[in-house]
Parts: sequence; C-alpha cells; structure tokens
Amino acid sequence: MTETRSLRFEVKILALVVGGVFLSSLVAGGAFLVFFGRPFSTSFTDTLHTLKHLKEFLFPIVTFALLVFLLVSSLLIFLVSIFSLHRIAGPTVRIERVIEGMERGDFQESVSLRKGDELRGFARTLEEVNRKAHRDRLKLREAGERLMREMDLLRESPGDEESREKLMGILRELEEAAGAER
Amino acid sequence: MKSRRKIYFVRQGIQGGFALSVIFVLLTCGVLLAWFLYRDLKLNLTTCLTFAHIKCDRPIELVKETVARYSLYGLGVALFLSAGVGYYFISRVRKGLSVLEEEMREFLEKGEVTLRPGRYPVEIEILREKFHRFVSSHSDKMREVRDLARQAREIIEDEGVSSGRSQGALEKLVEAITREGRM
Repeated sequence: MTETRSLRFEVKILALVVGGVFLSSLVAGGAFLVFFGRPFSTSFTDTLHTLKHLKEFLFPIVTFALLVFLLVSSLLIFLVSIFSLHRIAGPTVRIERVIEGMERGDFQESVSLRKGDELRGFARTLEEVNRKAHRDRLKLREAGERLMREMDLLRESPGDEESREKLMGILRELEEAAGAER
Repeated sequence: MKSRRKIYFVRQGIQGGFALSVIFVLLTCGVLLAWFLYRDLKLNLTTCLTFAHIKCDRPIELVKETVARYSLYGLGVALFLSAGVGYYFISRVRKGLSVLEEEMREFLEKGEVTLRPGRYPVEIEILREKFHRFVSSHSDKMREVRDLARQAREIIEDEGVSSGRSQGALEKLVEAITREGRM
C-alpha cells in the first residue's frame, strides 16, 4: 500500500458526511414537528374538511420537510466537499503544475504542500522523478557542451588525434547516458 | 507583501463530483422516503381522523410512530448509501493517484512506463495523460540522442572526423541535445 492511501482522511470525510446527513434530518424532523404539532380542531366539521382535503394538508408538509432536508444536506455536503477534499484537490493542482513544468523542460518547480495536505508520499515520488529527469538533461547538456568544444578544436586542427579520441569518448558517454535511460 | 486569497474550490471534478454524487444519493433516498411517508401518513391520518379524532389534540400524536419508523429507516439507508458513494468516489481518486505513483516509480526504475488500464475521475486522467506525455517526450529525446551519438561515432570511425557527413552528424547531435521543451 502506498502512502497515497490514508484511511484516517476517508474516515474523517465520511464522518462529516454522516454528521451532515444526520443534522439535516434533524432539521427536517423539526419542520415536521412544527406542522404536525399545531393543535387539531376537534370539531366534526373541521375533521371532515381535513379528511376531504387530506392531500392539500399533507402534501405541502412532506414536500417542505423534504426540501428542507435536501437544502440543508446539500449545503453541508458541498461545504464538506470543498473544504475537506481541498486537502487532496489542492496538491493535485500543484502536482499538475510540476508535471507541466517538466514537459516544458523547466525542472525548477516543486510540489509545495500546505499543513494538513494529503498526498505527501506522492509528492515525494514526483520530486524524485523531477530530479532524475533534470539530472538526465543536465548530463546531456554538459556532454553537449564538451562535444561542441572538441568540435571547435578539431575544426582548428583536424589532424589532432587526442581531440578525436576525446570526441569519441564523449560520444560513447552520450550513448551510455541516454541509453541508461532504457 | 500582498497576501494571496486561498481558493478552496480548485478541482470541479473531484470536489464537485463528490458533492454531486452524494447529493444525488440523498435526493433519490429523500424523494423515495417522502413518497412512502406521504402514502402511509395519508392512510394513517384517514384512519385516525375517522375513528379517533376526538381523542387527539394534535396530528403529531397520530403520525409520530409512522414518522419515527420512516425517519429511522430512511436515515439509516441515506447514511449508508451516502457514506458508501462518498467512499467509492474518494477511493477512485486515490486509486487513480496510486496508479500514477506506480507509473512514476516504474519511470524511476526503468526509465519507461507501461500504461495501466483503468478509468479514473477526469482530472486524475488528465494528470496521467500529462505525465505520460512528459515520459514519452523525455524517452524520445534520450533515444534520439543515443541514436545520433552512435551514428556519429560510426561515421567518424569509417570516414574520419573531418568528412562532411561526420560534421553533419555531429551538428545534428548537438542540435538534438540543446533543443529544450516539448519534442
């Protein structure tokens, strides 16, 4: 199991979701109580009227309680999602920035995580990848610069055996450096 | 120094996706529960109002058992399903990131990446795609440099360093090395 997994984080989020749903149902229950708690008329005529128009009496109560439940729970879930999942979502934005930098050949970006952020292991692995790719490119660039120097020397004195040997050495080095990649 | 405002809603797919999937489950559970509750309350109230209205002051006394029963069942189902969906959603994000981390480790060890099958949330897929693009361009560059270096060495061994072909091969190699960014 990689460090990317942390059950504590999941448990915390789920506890917040469960708490949110529970709280919303309490609020909806309260709305029910408000409507059903109103005193009943005990007169026969009123009872008959209620019976006749039971749908008009009951439907708004159930709908209102449902809407209260949905509104409160949606709001709470949305808040949980934005603030708690930010600990995963935030690092992924910074990780994406580093990968984009690597694509451009810019290896200076680093994954800076904030306190409480998740994905620390993942960020470390990405840093290693960044360093390795940077090392590979630097090796090539250094060899390329030496190659250019030797090429200039050979242009000035084409018969120089030592420069030729050096050039061949650099070419072998380049083959190895780029081949070690595979 | 200017203080930067912290933005919390940064990944619509992850944060919004999680919220929407849980809200969808709650909506479905809520509507079903409301429908069954409405049906039973109607029946309950009809019976109670017909036979026992004189004994009851408030409707809550008539419906409390039904409401309590439905609240208990409904809450249980809603809690179970919303927690399940939430866990599943986070697991998919985690799994996608785990797979990407495995691919990174493979790149560190072998210098190449074998694509792993699987579908993950869009934003994780985009991250993977960008990483694969980087690995591919990096490997292409390395391969190109290695091939050009070998080619140049072979030409120099055959024709000597001052031949036009040798110079051409060396210049091509230098150009490939110094080229930066996307391939």
